[in-house]
Amino acid sequence: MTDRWIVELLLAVVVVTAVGVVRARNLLVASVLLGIYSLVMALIWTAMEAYDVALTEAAVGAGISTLLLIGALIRTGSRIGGSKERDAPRIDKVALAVAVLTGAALAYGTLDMPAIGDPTAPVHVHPKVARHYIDRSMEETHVPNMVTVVLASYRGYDTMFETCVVFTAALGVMVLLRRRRPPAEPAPGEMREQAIFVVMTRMTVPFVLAYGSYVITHGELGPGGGFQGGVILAAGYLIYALVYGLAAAQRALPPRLTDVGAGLGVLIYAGVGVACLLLGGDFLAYDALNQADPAKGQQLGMTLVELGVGLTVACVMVTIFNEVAQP
Amino acid sequence: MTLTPQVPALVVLVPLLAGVVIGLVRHAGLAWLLASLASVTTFALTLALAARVQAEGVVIYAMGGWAAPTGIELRVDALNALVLALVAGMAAVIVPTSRASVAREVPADRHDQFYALVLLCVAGMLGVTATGDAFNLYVLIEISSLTAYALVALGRSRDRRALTASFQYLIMGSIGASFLLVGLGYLFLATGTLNMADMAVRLADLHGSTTVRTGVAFVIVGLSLKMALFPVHQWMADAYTYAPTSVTALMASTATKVGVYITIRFVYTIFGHELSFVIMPTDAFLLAFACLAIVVGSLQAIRQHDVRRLLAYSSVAQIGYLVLGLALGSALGLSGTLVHLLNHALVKGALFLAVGAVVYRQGGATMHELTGIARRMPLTAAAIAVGGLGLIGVPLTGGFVSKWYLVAGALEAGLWPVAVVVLVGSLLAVAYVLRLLQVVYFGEPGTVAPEPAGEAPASFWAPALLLLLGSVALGVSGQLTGGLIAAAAGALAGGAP
Amino acid sequence: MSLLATGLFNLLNYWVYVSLMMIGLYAVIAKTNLVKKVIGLSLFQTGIFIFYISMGVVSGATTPITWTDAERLRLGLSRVEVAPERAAAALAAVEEDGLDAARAALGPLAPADAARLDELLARPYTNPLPHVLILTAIVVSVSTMAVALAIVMEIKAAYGTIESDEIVTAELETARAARS
Repeated sequence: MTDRWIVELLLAVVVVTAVGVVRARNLLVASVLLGIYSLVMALIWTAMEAYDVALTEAAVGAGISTLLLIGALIRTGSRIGGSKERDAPRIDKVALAVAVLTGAALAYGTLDMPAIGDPTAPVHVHPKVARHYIDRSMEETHVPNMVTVVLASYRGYDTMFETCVVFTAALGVMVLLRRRRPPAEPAPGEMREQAIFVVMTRMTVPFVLAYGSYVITHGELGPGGGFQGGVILAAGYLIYALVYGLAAAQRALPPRLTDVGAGLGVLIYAGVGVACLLLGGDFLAYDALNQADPAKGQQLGMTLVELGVGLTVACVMVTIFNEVAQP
Repeated sequence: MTLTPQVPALVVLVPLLAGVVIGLVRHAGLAWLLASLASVTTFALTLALAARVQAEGVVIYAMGGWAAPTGIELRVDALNALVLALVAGMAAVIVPTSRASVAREVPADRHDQFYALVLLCVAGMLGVTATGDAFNLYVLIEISSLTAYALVALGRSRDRRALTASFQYLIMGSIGASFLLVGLGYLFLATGTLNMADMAVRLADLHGSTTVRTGVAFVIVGLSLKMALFPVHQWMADAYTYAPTSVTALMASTATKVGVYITIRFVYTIFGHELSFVIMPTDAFLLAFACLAIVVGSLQAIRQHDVRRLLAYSSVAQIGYLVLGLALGSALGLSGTLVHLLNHALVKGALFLAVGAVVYRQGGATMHELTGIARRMPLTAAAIAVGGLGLIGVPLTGGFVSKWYLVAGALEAGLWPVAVVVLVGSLLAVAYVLRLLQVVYFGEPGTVAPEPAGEAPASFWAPALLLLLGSVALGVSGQLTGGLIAAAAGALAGGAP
Repeated sequence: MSLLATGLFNLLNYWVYVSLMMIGLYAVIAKTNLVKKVIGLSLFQTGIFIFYISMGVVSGATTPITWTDAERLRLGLSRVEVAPERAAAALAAVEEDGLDAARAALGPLAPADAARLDELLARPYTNPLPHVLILTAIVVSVSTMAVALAIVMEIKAAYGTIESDEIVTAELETARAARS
């Protein structure tokens, strides 16, 4: 772990930002502050050696969430100074009591917790859980990134449902927001007129897409994987849509395709599981994919399910953005 | 290769995959057909699983081939075999018969997404019930909740209040899930494991830890929010009132039952009798709020004008009974909870289907719209009558059996005030059911609302009557499920995991 | 430092997480603006993430990506003063016979350097499990936010406002109009 005081400083920044988010009257300010809050949080994860989490927090928390919030503010017309928060000096006593009571209970529970970083804490020494993941994952799967092994193999069943949660979010947003008729062709985005943005986009988007694909496919070796890479891929689309306008973006990547892709990713994930089952293993037991060399089977299985995850996440993020951003 | 050993995995996989595929089909009729096929198949699979549990005992399935606690396992014993069959059974009755009401209440171009959400919700609930891993439970709860929020919001084409109900549900549901996540985090920190059985073993030596005690408290409070236990029940009353009819029927008969199941699992299997009842005052906490839920829920039900709202408040009271039984900490109390779980699922599902028939014909379900419908809609009225009697718990219905157990359990524990609350609750149920039946059978039609044109399609009343038949069977022959229930209750209360 | 102060310091991350949860919970309950409630929920959930990740920290540990012995040695050698030919010998030895042989091939080092090298060679890994759990929780949290915002947009379309008190007023007026 990086020097203790850096983490402490960042934690202090996080708390101050959180207070700022809650106190901000202007919702746009609150949303942007929340993005900064997530970004600082990502730094904290880095300082705590949780790079996979940091990457996800930066892409999801600071990126997608902020965009969604701002999109929602534009759609509900509560953009700049539009918030009618009239609760300036008033403190809600009930809310305060609930929060303080919850906080007191949570703090009471921390009193006999082992010190942070204590290597003898129960979470670190369980022979069949943490120790197994750390000591045996390389031997069992030949994949160096333990986070990916736990995510995609030891707890791969969880991750399948996590992908499903993402898919469900897209379904939920579509069922509520999708318009019956395709939207009339809107005027091209204002930014399109500005040559510098157009040129920059043309230069950036291919790199963003390449980076997203890299992150999806290299989760076994370093930080990254389907979730992070999928979000980065979607970010490529988002940049394009912001500069060229939504209609142009939807011509480049028709919503029908992303609808199918969102479901297809989950099907790939579950399909790998079913393939294991048909080859005589248990559901998602990738060993069955390569009877001669189970570790190779594990690698293949993980690569495939990460592809499924990446496909679903990228398509879902694009879908949600499309629905929120439509005029 | 044979699929028999794979049945536990298939129980969750079939609705899950069907849900995803339905999300892609873009055809209302096909979506319904696939959803019906999948829910019936799933029910058959849960029955096969229950038979296997009865023959072999606990069935364990290691996901990914990794034995627990390294990997995630499904662990099915008599208790969750029963709940799995209940959830899948209700889905198998409600989904195939939902076509007419869905066509009326949900825009046609959204039927595919609607049925996809329904099946994913069912898959989530089945997964929650089958899993033996505490964190997996959290993920699956989030699937069933997220789908439920969207489904409730779909009621907006009938009434815009569905949207605010759904938002409130989302906020309360997310707070509840977060409390659960924190509580699980504390327990994980203390034990180093997420597997339920392993956690139970390790917790046995950690009763003195404040971390463990706080974790227990947060799990219980989080689950109470998810179950809509009084005083955090308002979201449920609103959600049931404004959701599309078939969604309400499905949720009322399954979602709260799964919540009660999880609570039983935590209190008895994971925490164990001593931690739950001796070291932590879980029983006192749950008993107090259960009694309040019974009384306040029933009183609120009496005051309602909209029958869906009346039934929703009645559900608030019924959750009180369910929690009361499990908080008694005895085999008798647990038997009461389990019988009530089955019976109330059948009865409430049937009642909401019958009310759905009235909504279909009359456009609403206030007391006005129900006035005198017995003349033109005799079968729907009969379903409401039998269901109402089941809610009261008159002899020959399953409700009688469960309340008998609950009263006996309370007296056995020397808690006669609790027994009195059960009886008072039943009297209050008499009040709201009789008021309803009086309107349905003896109201003068045509004076306040037009008389219905005729009986609703059979897809409304036939499943309702089928479910009620089940409830009566449960009441007439305690033996029907008695063996399985007594086995489950005895095993849990005896402390054996 | 007194024992109490040490204890507080050791658990500092946990106190921060408790404060974030309190701030978030307060906002969810107290704020009338629905978007603000969603933001509060997000703060509330991220507080929990700090708790889980802090739990996974191991003092002096590195990120949970398996390093081979050679990789560890290469990093270690880059941080200490050592003659290039001895470093090359050590790197050759590690491929053949493992870390102990490499350490022997390296010969004696300055005491500070030796301690530093040994620490780097024996560096443990952070616990990967909390990271995995929180990856899941982050994804769940953004999915919930997306659905919540979709509902808020529909509420705006149906009621013309996203302030909960104005929605209540609108409903009361509708009910009054229906009665009269």
